[in-house]
Parts: sequence; structure tokens; C-alpha cells
Amino acid sequence: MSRPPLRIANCSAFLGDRLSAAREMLEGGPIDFLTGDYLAELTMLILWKARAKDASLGYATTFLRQMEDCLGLAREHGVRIVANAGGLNPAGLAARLREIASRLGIAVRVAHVEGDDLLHRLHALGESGETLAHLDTGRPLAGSGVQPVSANAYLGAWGIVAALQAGADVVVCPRVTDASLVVGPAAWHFGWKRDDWDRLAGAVVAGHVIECGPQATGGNYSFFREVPGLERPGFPIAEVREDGSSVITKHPGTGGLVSVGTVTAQLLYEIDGHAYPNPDVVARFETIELSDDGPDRVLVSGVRGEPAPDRAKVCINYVGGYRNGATFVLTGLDVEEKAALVRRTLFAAVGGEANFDEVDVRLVRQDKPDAPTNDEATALLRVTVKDRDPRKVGRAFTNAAVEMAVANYPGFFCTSPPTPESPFGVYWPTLVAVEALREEVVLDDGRRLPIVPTALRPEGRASAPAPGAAGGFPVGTASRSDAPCTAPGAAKLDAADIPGPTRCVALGTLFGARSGDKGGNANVGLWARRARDFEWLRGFLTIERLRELLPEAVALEVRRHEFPNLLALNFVLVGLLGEGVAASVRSDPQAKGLGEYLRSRLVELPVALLDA
Amino acid sequence: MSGNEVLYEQDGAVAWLTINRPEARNAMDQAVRDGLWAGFRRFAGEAESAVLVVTGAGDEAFCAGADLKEMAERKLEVPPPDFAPYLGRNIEMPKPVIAAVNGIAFAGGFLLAQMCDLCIAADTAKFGITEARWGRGAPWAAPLPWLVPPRVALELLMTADPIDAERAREVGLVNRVVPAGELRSAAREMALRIAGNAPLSVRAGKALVYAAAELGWHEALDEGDRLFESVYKSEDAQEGPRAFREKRRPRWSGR
Repeated sequence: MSRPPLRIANCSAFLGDRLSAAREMLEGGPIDFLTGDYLAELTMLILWKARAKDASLGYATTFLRQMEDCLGLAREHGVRIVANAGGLNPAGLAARLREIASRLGIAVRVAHVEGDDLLHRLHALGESGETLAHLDTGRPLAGSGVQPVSANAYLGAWGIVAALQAGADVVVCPRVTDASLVVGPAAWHFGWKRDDWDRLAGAVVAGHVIECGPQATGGNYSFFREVPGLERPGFPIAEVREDGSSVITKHPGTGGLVSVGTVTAQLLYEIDGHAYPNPDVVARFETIELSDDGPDRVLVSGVRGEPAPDRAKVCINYVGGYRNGATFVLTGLDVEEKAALVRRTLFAAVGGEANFDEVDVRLVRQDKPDAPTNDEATALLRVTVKDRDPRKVGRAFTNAAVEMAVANYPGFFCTSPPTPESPFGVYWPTLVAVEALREEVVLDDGRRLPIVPTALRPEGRASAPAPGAAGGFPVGTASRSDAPCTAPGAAKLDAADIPGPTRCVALGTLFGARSGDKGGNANVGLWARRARDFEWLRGFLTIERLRELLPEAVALEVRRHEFPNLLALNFVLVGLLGEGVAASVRSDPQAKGLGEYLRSRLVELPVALLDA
Repeated sequence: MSGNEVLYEQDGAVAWLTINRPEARNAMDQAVRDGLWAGFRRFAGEAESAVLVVTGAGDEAFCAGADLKEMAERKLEVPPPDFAPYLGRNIEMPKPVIAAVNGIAFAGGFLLAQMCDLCIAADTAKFGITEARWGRGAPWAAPLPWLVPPRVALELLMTADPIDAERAREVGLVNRVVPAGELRSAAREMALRIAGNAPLSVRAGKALVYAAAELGWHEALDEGDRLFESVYKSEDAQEGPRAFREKRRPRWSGR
């Protein structure tokens, strides 16, 4: 009786992803929708730089190249396209697509969504009482001295639905949430209502799984040795059903793997707690159920949703200043003394460390004593300087480094030639009342359709959540008093709960991990493959133990979340990445490797689990 | 949320609210009161957190009460009704809250421990209603004779002398006393024990005890029937026995 599922494919996880993926998804098997995510927080800044040079740009040009290649093919197959490639200039991208279509003689109706751009309204919003406080620090924007270069609200799926209803074949989106690219087509196709919370939440989860492309099909996966064809993994497909459940899969014959493990790993990416707020619904991740549905097929079901939040997340970026750096290679003996000499000499030549807004000096001791090869005898001294004045960190800095070449420590050389200074962006996440949004869909005949946020409509108000939790916390965490309250079960408190001897092995022997960034916060998820292993992990890996294993987190706020349904724990390390990826001085500014680092740490694991 | 005077930490189903002014014996000034308000509200609205533990930073004080320096400056007379959060009085709190008293709990600090549902104390903790010494008032102590024998309440209010953790346990003010070094893990254990139970049953149990304090014998029983009716009719009331039969751990939905 129920209708066949809607097949929604992803062909891009970020700006710069595999160009041929769009064609692969269209040719690899039947699909109904082709979607792509092009916008990370950092991307908004990259697009701002592009638009500053040429006002007609500011969108993802790679998407345009994909469409030049594939728009005709998509029309032949009757596949519609939804992407957030519009970035800061969705109207510009829509116009270019129409040009391409008419040049190639393809009949296609292109619509775009706008209204996410709040840059020129920030002042007015401030006057109307919005503090635009930083989500993590609580600092208000006014008086912070910050001059934003981009400010985009995360829009939801109902604009996409309206565009599809009006007959669009291609919907160009600006900063909509990644999941909306899947929610929109599904809600349109099945005629979901605004308050179909559980269905919408199911589609949000499907969208979250496929938005990062091959990260759901075996890419960036701890147990990569079990994944076949990782040289070229297929991109993921969500077969969304009328009830909001979905099957995650990929085209036959492609590389990679879709398993409960690969989907679990992706679910743990970039989340902070059980509530996953989206503009149209708050998905409860502790209700997700995953099960095997055949080879390379995983069923996602049971997801519950709560009413749409009354505040929208906004991504503000500003130029924090200028940065430069140099990495000195220190070989062999007396590494600490060599490092101290570099630091003294370099900063004496540029007016002292206090002359800069920020200085970061890190000695990476990767060297071994009496090393069998020259490479293994080297340590790295990474020096990063930042300042509002580009001249201080430009030639003045690199000249000082170059002048040390034959005048300083023995064996002087650097990893790369001196570079000019570069501006760095800082990410400022905040919230505004949804009343502030002015979302509109623009059709190819110029008609404009206004989109009212769910929280302002009767269906949204009828079941409105309690006012947002205090402290500028994402609104999604607020809930009705009868909201599901997850119980973690009578949790085991200590590893000693599993009797018998232990063995000192890497945590990753039994557990997978996935890590990433969200602004200045790092996120690490760990999951078990067997219930018994999870019970041990839950008792063992307290916040205190995590701090022992990741000493960088000692002085940071750590949030710990339990997901018994996924056999997983999730940790958020607040502020680990400083002011975000573009500003971070960490060698791994997006914490991509943090999970693998955690897996490599040695712990006492019960032999009973290891040998089971 | 100005600074770090009160820390909020999320640890699975357990949330921690820590007064973080150890240098001022965790005395309650405006920033601490603001932080407590924000923390209680955040916990109340956070579905993921089942139990809150309130404690103090350092090993000397849980909370030494109002900041008397601030009091002197503000020349405060009768504190307004929303001066500081009072669970169940000016802030609704259906979920359980545990006080983990790590040191002195005097005056406003005593109130903070008193208004939590459960109290676990370090063996070095001390409890005192010290207001009489400084000419201040403790109207908030009204429910105390319900919590401890009336003569103990009179003693606390009139002598203003503190009692130690062991005596506090004997008179029923404290549920458990543990060595100071084990306070945090013992509080976590107690919180996890509660968080593992069916959330609707736990909430109704809490509501029942407070309702009984206001009602007579028959009315309290009637109120109990009313409170638990929705528990009996919940999905979880079916899930519990089913999990028992299937020899697995129940998965509560809170519905």
C-alpha cells in the first residue's frame, strides 16, 4: 500500500569534492534526486573572498562545472537537483545555470532560495534586542569589536518544498542546513505536513548521514581495513520512505561499504548531544535505530522528532587579522636548546613576542635518538604569529626567519619557503529569533514566494517547545516536559565490573572513532561493535579518563553524551580549536585526526572482552 | 552568562552544576545567583539530562551563603521573591536534584543543600543556619521541621551552630556520608542509579513526597493515585515488565 521510497543521492560533501561524483551518481543506477553539500563554516569565508574579488561570484563554481557536464543527463533521467551551492550568491548561480541550459539547449526550470543573508541587517537586529551572543562564550556581538564579513542564517527545507511544488527541476540554495537537502525533496514527494515531526526527523537523520558523501560509505572509517575498494568509494544514497525511515545504500559495483558501523560513524560526526536541532524539527538522536538490510544496506528507523525551534542558528564570519608561520626543522642533538635559540633569535629581530596579537610556538618531538634514518632524527618547531597589522606578520616576519639561515642553530632549514601573510577568518556562531528571517523562493519567471518558519505557524505554535534553555544554548535542547527522557540504564561504573585480568592495548582495538570540528569545538565520537564492549566503555570512559587520554582537554569544558542505541559515546571538547578552523594554530585545525589519536592510546582492557 | 562563577557540565544523563568561587568559599554573589538560575533552567529544559548534581569547587566550601560584602554594599532588606533560585518554589523542577556537599554549607549554602531532593556529604562537610549571628533571616527554613525533627530545626535556627556531616545524616538531613575524596564518584553513582530508572516513575515519586507534605493522610493517597495514573498508562509501564520477561535492560522512552 505504501508508496515506493524516494531515492536521494549525494554527490558532494564539501567545496572541492570529487567532480565526477555527479555523473557517477546519475549513471550508476536509478535515483530520483541528486543533492550536494558545498558549504562548511570555512567555505562561507572562502566564498566571501571570491566575491570580494568579483561580485558576480560567491557561489560554488565546482557545482557549475558539474552541471555543465551533467544537467542534460539529469533531465534525461528525470532526476531533480537540490544543492546549497548558491553560497553567498544563489541568484548569481541560478542565472549562470539558466545560461548554461539555454546554451546546451536543455529545457530546465531553475529556482533559488534566498533570505539567509543577514549581514546588512545585523545592526537593525541588534537594535531590536538581539544580542547575537556567541553560542559558546556567551559574549554579545555588540561591543566585541568584531566586523562581520558574512552572516548567514541556516534555513530549512520548506523553501525547497515550495520550489519543487512550483515545478522547479533545479533548486539552488544558499545556507540551508545540510540535512534540508534531503528533508525538502522527501517532504515534497510524500506531502508531509509541517508538524509531521517524527517523519521530518527521520529525513533529517538520513540527510545527516549522506551529507558528508563517502564518510558514510567507508571513507574516514576506523576499521578501514574491512572496507573493500576504498581507492574509490561510491557516494551514498538515502532511500527515504513515506514514514520517514530510510535505507542508506550506494550504487552497485562501487567501492566502499555501507554497514551499521559506517553509518554509526557518520551519525556521530559533528553532533553535540541527543537533540539535533534543525530549522524544521529537532531530531532526537538517542531514538535512532540501525539495522542490517542486506549487503551495503542499512535501515534507519525509530527516529522521533520534536517541534521546530523558535530560534535560528546563524553563522557569522569575520576577519580576525593576518597570520603567518614558519616551521624550523631541528635535527639530531640538543633539540630543546636549538628550539630555544630559534625562539630568542627570531623574536628579538621582530620586536619581541609581545609585539604580536598572538604567538604560538610548538615543538613537535617526532625525533628518535640514534635514528636509523636522517628523517627520523628531525623535530619540528612550528612558529605561528597573528596580528591585525598585515605588515608585522608579512615580510618583516619572513625576512627575520630567512636571515637566520646560516647564522643560527646547526643544521638550519625550514619545511617550506617563506610565504606572504594571509588573512584568517573567525567563526562566530549565534542565534536569532525566527521572526528575523525573510526567506523567499525565487522562481524562474521572477515570482517570489515567501516562506514562513514553522515556529511562527499554527502547527508550530500548537506544540511550541519551552523557551530556549538558558545560557545561549542551542534551542533544540529545550523541550516539552513530557519529552522523552533517556535513561542510560544502570550504568556500570568501573572497568572492574568485568572480572578477570586485563591487557594493556590500544583503545581502538575494540572501538571505532570519528572526530571533527564545529567552530572552535572539537567533537569525538566512540562506538562499540558489541553491546558488552559498550557497557565496559560507558563505565570506563568518564570525563576524567578522557582528559587523561587527551591531555589537551585538561583545562577545557568537556560534554559527554551517551547513545546506548548506537553503542556510542560522544564528547565535545569546548574551545579545543581556539576560534575555529581558519584561525586555529593546531597542526590539525579541524580535529580530523583526534579520534584516531584517541584510539591509539593504551588502556587496560578486560581480557574477557578481547578474547571474546 | 558572564564568567565562570558557576560551571555547567554535561556527563551523559548526569548534569553537574558547580559553584566555582573557591577563593571566596563559594559565597553567593550576583554572578553565582545568575549562574544557578541559568544552570537550573538549562537542566530543566535539557531532555538528555536526567539528574542534576549541585556541588562546590575546592575542598573547603560547598557554599558559605550570601556574599556578606555584597550584602553590606547593597544594604538589602527583605530579599525579593526571585532573589535566588528556590527549587519547587520559584522554579519548577520535576527532575531529581542531588546536593553533593563538599565542605561548609552555611546560610544560603544550607538552603541550597536543603532544597535539593537528596543530599550526599563529604565527611568533612558542615551544615549551619548562621543567619542569627549576623542579624539576617532564614524564612526559607520553613520546610526544615518536615525534613528533620523539630528540635533539631530549633537548635539550628537558634544556636546558629553548625552540625557535622555525621550528625546531619543521623537527623535525616543527609542521605549518605562518604570520605571527601570519594564524594564525586559516590554522587555520580547515586545519580546514575536514579537515571537508570523509569523517568516517569522517578518524577511521580518525587512529586508524591512533596505533595504529601502539604496534604492530609487521605488527600495525599488520592493525590498519589492521580500522580501515578499516567505512569501506569505510559509506554514505559509496558516496557519494564517486557524487558524483565526478555531478560534485558529496559529502554525507557519517557512516554
